[in-house]
Amino acid sequence: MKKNKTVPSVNWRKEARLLPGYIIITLWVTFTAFLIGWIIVASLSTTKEIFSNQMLASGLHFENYSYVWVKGNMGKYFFNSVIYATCSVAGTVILSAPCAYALSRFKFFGNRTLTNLFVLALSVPQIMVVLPLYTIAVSLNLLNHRGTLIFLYICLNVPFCTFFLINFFSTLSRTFEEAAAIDGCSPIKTFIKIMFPLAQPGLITVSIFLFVNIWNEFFIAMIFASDNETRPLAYGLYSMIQAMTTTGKWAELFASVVVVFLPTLILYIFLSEKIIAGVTGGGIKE
Amino acid sequence: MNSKSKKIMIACFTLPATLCFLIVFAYPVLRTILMSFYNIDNIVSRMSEWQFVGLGIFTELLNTSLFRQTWVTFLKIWLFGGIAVTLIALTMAVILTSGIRGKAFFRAAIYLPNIISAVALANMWIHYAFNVRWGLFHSLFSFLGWDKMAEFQWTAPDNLFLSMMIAFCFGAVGYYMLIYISGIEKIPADIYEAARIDGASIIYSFFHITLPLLKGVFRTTMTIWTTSTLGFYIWSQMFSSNRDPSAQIMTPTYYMMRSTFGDMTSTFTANNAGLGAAICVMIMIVAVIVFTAINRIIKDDDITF
Repeated sequence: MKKNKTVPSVNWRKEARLLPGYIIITLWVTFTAFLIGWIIVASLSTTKEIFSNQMLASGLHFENYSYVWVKGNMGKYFFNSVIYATCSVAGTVILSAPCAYALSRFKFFGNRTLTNLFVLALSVPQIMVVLPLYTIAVSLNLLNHRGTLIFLYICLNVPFCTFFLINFFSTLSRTFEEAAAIDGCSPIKTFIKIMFPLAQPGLITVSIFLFVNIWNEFFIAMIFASDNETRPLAYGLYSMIQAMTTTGKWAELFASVVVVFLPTLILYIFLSEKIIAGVTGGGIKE
Repeated sequence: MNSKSKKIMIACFTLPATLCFLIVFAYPVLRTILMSFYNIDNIVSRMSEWQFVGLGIFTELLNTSLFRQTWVTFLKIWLFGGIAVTLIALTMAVILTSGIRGKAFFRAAIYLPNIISAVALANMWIHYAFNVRWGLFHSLFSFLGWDKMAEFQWTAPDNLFLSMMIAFCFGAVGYYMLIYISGIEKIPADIYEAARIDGASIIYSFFHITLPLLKGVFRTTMTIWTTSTLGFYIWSQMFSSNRDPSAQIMTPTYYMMRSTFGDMTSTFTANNAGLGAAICVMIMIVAVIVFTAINRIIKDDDITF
C-alpha cells in the first residue's frame, strides 16, 4: 500500500524539533543494549578475560553453557519451567475463556458481582494469600510437587485472564452467534465452534503474555517448589548465583543469566506487538 | 433457548473460574485476617492450637523499631521511585507520541526489561553495571575521566538503596510508559490541532491538554504502582544476598517473608505465623487507605471523546 504513494520528503524542521526526543530515547535504548549485550559476550568468554577486560580474546566458550546446563542443573530447571509455563497457560485459558464469554454475553444474577470480584483480585497483593495456601500445601503433603505449582499458577492467573478476555469478547460482533442461535445451535456448541475461533487473536495475546509472566515468576515458586527437583529456572538461577560468586565462576554465572532470559527475549523479538497488547489490554482497568 | 438450559450453561462456564477465585483469593485472604489475631507457633498448627491475643501482635509489631523502619523504606520507594518512574515514563511516552520515526521499535526496546526475569535483571545490574572492576558505570566514568564517580561503591551497604532503586526503576519505566502512551493516544488529535492554531507551544499543550486529560490514567498507574511497591520483595532479596539484610532496603513484605519462612542467614526468625499474617493485614490496610485516597483525590470527570 505504502509503496504506491510517493515517499513523503523528510520534513527537516519537524525532525529538528524532535531531535531532543531522539537523543533521549536513543541513549536509553543504547544503555539497555549494552547491559544485555555485555552479559551475552561475557557469557561466552572466560572468567580470566572478564577480569582483564579482554573478552572473547580466545574465541567463543560455549562450554560455559554446557557447564551450567549439566553441572549447574539449569537443564533440569529449564525443563521444569517449560512444563510450568505451558501447562499453566493452557489451564488458565481453558478455565477463563468460558467464564469471560458468559460474563460478557449474558445477563444473570451475580454477573456484576463476579466481574467486580475478579477485578478486585487483581489488586490483592500476593503476600495476602500465601500463608493459608502454604498451610494447606504442607498439611496435604503437596509441597514441592509440580502439580501444586501449576494449580496455583492457574488459579492465580484466572482473574487477570478472565478480565482481559471479557474486554476482548465485548469488542467482538454478536451477529455470528445470533445467526447460530436462529439455526438452533446450542450455546456450548456456539462457543466452541464460533466464538473460540473468532477469539483467537485475544487468546493468543493473553497466552503469550501469561507465558512470559509465569516463566519469570519467582515468589510463588520460591515458597511452593524450592526443591532441587521441582524448582523453575528463575529460582534455580537465584540458588546458583551465591555459589558461583563465592567460587569465582563469573563466566558461568553470566551464562546462567543468559539461559534464563534468552527464551523470553527470543519470544519478544518475534512477538513484541502481542506482548505489548497484553499490557495495554489488561493493565488498564477502565 | 429456554431459560433452564441457559442457566446450566452459565453455571458450567463460570463455576470453574469462580472456584479458582474462592480457593486462592477469597479463602486465603479471610484466613490471613483471622490468623493475625492469634499466636501460631507453627504455620501448620490446627486452629484449636492457636492462641487468641487480640490486637497483641499488631502492638508488638509497631513497637519493633526494625519493623517501623521497613515502612519508612516502603514510603521512600513509593514516593521517590514513584516520582522518578512517572517523570521518566511520561517523558518517554510524550516523545514516542510526538511523531518520531521508529516508534514501534523504540517502544518495544524501552519495554524490553519487563520481559526479563527480575532475578536475571537484578543480577545483570549487580554483577555487571554496578561492578567496581568491570562494571558499565565504572568503565563509562573512567572513560569520561570522572575518577571519583568511577570509584563509587554501588553495592556498599550505604549505597545499596540508591543502586536498588536505579535498577528497579529502570525496569519499571517501560511498563508505565505503555500505559501513558495508550492514554495519550486516546486524546483526539484535533484538540492539539486547535491549540496549535491558537498559537500554543508543545510545552503549553502538554501542561494544559495532556496532563489534565490523563487524570484517569494517573489514577490507574498510581493504583498499580502502590500494589507493586507494597509487594516489593524480589529486588530486596537480590540486593541483600550474601549478607544479612540491610535495614535500608528491607520492605514490609521482605520482613514478613524473612520472619515467617526464615532464612539460613536470618537472625530474627520469629516462628510465629500470626505475626506474618498481621504484617499481611497491615499491608492490605495500607493498600485500602491509599486506593481510597487516590479515588477521592482524583475524581472521575467522565470525560468522553
